[in-house]
Amino acid sequence: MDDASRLYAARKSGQGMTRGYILSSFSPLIILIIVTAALSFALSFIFSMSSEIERMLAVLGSGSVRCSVCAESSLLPDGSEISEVRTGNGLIYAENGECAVAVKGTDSDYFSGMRGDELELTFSNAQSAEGGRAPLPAVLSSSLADELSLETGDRFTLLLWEEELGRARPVLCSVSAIFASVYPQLDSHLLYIPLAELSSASYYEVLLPSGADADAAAETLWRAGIPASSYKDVYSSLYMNVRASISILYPILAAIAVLAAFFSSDAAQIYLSRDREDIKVLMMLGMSRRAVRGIYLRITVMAVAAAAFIGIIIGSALSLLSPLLLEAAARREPEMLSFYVTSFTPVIPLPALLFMAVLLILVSVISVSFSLRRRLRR
Amino acid sequence: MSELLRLEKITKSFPSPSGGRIDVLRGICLSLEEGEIVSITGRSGSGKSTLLSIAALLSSPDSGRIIYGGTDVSSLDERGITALRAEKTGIVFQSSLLLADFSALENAAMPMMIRGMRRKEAMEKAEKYLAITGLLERKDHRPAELSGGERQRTAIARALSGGASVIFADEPTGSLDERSADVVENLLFEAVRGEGRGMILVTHNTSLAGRADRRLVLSEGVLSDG
Repeated sequence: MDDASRLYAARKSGQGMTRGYILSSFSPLIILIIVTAALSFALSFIFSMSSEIERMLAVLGSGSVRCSVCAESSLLPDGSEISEVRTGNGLIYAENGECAVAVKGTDSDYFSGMRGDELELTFSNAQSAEGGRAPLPAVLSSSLADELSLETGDRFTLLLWEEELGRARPVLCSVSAIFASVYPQLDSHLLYIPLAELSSASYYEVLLPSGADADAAAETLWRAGIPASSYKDVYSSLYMNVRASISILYPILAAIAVLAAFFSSDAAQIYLSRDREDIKVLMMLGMSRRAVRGIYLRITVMAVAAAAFIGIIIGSALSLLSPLLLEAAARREPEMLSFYVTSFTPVIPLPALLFMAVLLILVSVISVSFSLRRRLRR
Repeated sequence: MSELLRLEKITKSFPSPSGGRIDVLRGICLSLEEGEIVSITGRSGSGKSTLLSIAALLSSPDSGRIIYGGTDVSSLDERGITALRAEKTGIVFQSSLLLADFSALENAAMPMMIRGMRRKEAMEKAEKYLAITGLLERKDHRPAELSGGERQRTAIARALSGGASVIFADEPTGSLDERSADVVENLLFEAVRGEGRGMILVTHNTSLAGRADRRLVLSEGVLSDG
């Protein structure tokens, strides 16, 4: 590109021009900005949601990795937590309702590590002043507590089903802690009580630090002779649903690329019409058609890239607000959002956004090249 | 003196609304020598601007040859013609046809940059021609900030700065008041004669045409001495 083309392209791209001119250059691309922003938001939201759901499958489910034997901590990534767990079923009878629950027996330190940090627990200050056997400390989610109108310190009866004995045993419980419900799909019918109260066979939950590879950890344990399954296998249908949401985004990305092609060639036509007189002058001065095509390809692609960038920034900024919106919606209509994690840290999926931007630019290069070739034909 | 441009038997016709064709140019022959100024006058619609646009390689004739300094244009492809136009021609129209978003200096430097000259060098050379046309102090102004005469002087600086051997001027003073017209006329004539270029001047203005070395009249598609 010669200096004339460079200077012309830079000026027409906005260098040394008024703000009004720059804004008007973007007007043919406003729909592209909106669509890119919407897609960036969707990408960010779905990536954030799916990564948080995966984390909750580990935190509220059966750990990142579930194994039948207690594994040596040296086999696991640093910071991993191992807990012995037993499971059962029961019926809660509270003053204001009753509810069937999955019961999990855990050690007293179950909520003291990463799990406790991630599940915002509110503990009871109530002390048992009665003689005799104290009620069992029980931990439940805020959604279950709300359903039964329970608060910390409240008592209820748990009819615990003892499968080995083939009978149900009533147990008096007291709500020792309530954690903020984040994933009602898993936590709205889940009750934690002390491990010793359940007689079923125990297994071990390994909670890996956030971001650690659960499949790799399970594989390591298998190689050491310990049967283990990652949360992806244990909750395979839920996990597949989450993955399916992400894979749906790729056809949408392709559709957006087609839209980009349409809008970018449209923008090229608009720029050519806007600068019709200037193009005549350049050609009168001896600029070749090829050079003019090169200039307008550059101008249009730069505008498309800038529009995509603006869209990504807007979409990503909006996605940072999505937890607030979702939490507000969850407060109003909790059942509507039972399949969503209602409290999560937004993740900006940079590689996916970069892929989208590159795709948009590539498609617009191709479409604008054809469009300019057709338009600037003698 | 060497020949800068020769037109041989140039013809051009356009479709007429009634279905036939109108012959605008009928075998035009014209040559232009170094340092020579040729004026072409004629009624409106006589084909003066068509002839100028063909000679300046902005459009092509139906038949005939255009020879620039020994190069037959008919032997060139589109790219070659574009390069020849950039190298040999400088054009000044009635409306100055400047790039609206570029300063007077950038406008004047544009032909040189199109020919591949580096920006800095082109700007320096363009400054010299803006000084000649008396616009150095207005070099950073854009066309909308210049008067009609100043815009036309910028167009002249642009036509001259590229080193064109043939200047084509189509009513260069047509939109100017008398005083500005005098300034522009003098500039053009002095620059062309002083630098050994040639100029084909198309005008209705008989006194301007009278200043040329040769005066031709285009009528009925044929050029004759005026």
